[in-house]
Amino acid sequence: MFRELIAVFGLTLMVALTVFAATPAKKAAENETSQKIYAIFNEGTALFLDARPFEQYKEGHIPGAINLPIHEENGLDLLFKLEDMLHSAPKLVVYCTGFGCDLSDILAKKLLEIDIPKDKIIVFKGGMEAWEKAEYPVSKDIGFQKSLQQ
Amino acid sequence: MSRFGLAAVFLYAALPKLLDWPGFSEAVARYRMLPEFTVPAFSLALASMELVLGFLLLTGIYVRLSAWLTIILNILFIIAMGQAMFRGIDTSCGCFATSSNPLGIIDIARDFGFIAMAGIVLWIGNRPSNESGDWRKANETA
Repeated sequence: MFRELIAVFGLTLMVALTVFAATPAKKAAENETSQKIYAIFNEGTALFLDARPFEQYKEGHIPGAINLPIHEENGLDLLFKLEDMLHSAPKLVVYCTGFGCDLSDILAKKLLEIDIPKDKIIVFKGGMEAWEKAEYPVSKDIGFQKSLQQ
Repeated sequence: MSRFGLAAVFLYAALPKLLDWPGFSEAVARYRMLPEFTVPAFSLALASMELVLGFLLLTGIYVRLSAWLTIILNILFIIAMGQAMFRGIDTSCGCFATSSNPLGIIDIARDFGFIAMAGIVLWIGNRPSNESGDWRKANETA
């Protein structure tokens, strides 16, 4: 049994080393710091997309951000509803709670699937946690979001 | 059947992770269980282990050991998912390439299913091949 275990771990190590040597590190989309995101926010040309559930969005979000919870039941409907707007925006900033969540990555992948160019999408990994920590403005306005859901 | 099912699951889970292991590494980091510097190596080793186990189960080599390692891995996954849910970590399972739903009880239940499948593999491996039903004898000859 011990010899078999050594063989399995040996095989695992071989696979790992082969993959490590063969795979270049890559990221789905660009990752930016909160200062850079704030500069983009001030330019006023980027469309911000909040990937968190609506309950979290309504408690506070980046001003002007649209809630697009792609993992929820109506998420895809909303995505298709917004498709023209997403294509016409010069930049899309996607975020969720912070480094501990991956909803922004999931949304970024969906955006790529609907042919939004990769260089247009910015994933703000720090998310709302980094935004609030930097004491940047937060909005609780859900008027536009309500109109989208109707 | 359980062996092939389990092999298919592990191969299906491992391949996309290995093709994008930096992405899988990020998914592992989101569980916040390991020191940050260990996450890339651990993620790569984990995905490689899944591939090796899938291969061994498929080919029938070291089946008992593979089944035991499968059970141990799935227990680790359940612990990782359980603590993430308990701590309210907002993440998806990261178990398969296509999993984009937030982590839920279904993911944990699925891993219990895999443990049961590995249990069946072990049980079948221990089953006596003779008519007498002598389990001890069958185990000795296995």
